[in-house]
Amino acid sequence: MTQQRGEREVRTALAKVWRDSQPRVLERLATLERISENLRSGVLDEKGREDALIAAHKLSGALGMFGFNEASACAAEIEALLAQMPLPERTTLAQLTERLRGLLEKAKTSHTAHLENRGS
Amino acid sequence: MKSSRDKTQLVRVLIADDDPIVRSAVRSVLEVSKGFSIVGEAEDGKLAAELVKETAPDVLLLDLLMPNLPGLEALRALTTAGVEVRTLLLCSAISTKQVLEALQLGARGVVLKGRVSELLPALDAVMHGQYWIEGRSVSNVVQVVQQLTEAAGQQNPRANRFGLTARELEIISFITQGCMNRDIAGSLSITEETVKRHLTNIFNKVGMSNRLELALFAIEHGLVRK
Repeated sequence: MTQQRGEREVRTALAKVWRDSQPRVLERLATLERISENLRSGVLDEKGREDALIAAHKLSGALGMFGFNEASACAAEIEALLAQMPLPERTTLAQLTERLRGLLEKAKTSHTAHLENRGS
Repeated sequence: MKSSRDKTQLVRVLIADDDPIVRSAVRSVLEVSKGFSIVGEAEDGKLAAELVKETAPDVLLLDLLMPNLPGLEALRALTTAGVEVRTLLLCSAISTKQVLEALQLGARGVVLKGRVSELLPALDAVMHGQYWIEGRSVSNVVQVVQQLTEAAGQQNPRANRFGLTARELEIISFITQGCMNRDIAGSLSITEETVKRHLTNIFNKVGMSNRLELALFAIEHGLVRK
């Protein structure tokens, strides 16, 4: 396998994993949106925060693997915010979550081109 | 650790990460690249340590933040149990302090998830006895550790509290430069036998059991001059 061909095959394989991972990624985003909403209505519990922290951490790692660096950084920012004590400020969390949704929508529609052009 | 292997042999890899998306992405990269056989997947640190013992992989790809047992603790458990495995940390982010700790626990390097394109060269490097740190293959890990230690502001030279003689300190200095016994013997005009005897005494005094551990220990405790 030539190096170029090998890289292309890796990118194609990653693009497939990214497509297959969409439901799980959106589930994690929903967890973040839920906590943002709960924070607004003041019903946030520790378990909810922990779940959101894990979701943000996993999103940050996974999105980075697929080359969505901006979305990955945004998820990392949410993770850092959720790790803060006392509870994070609602507006910032809501804004970041909204931004992450926008970035994920963009990633969803452009994933193949993005991954297949990555590194070229 | 055995380093000689048939080039046609598949490199046996164990993936330890609590995120199924990451495991799937890593698996797909390795499958496409050929040359690798995935011997197992673990979703937490405890299972990772168990599977390493059970499957004896060539390389363990280990995440840091995992349930049950964090990555570094899993690595510590393996090291303590005397289980040898080439470990590459695969993580979203890592502090210099954690890199140092991982190296001291025997890890062979770090690949960031955001730089997954480095995974294959990193695996190749560790399979050839090298380390993979900060996106490049490294043979002199001691030098890198020294740089990282300085970067982390952890350089903390202390007086020689271990009862080491001037000659022993001299030998430690050679060890941190990656010198072999015959090089040391040549430089100090002594026999290799004498170097070995000094090393045995040094190991006993500082409680280390191999050259890498000794070099890392010496740097950490400021036993060598920069």
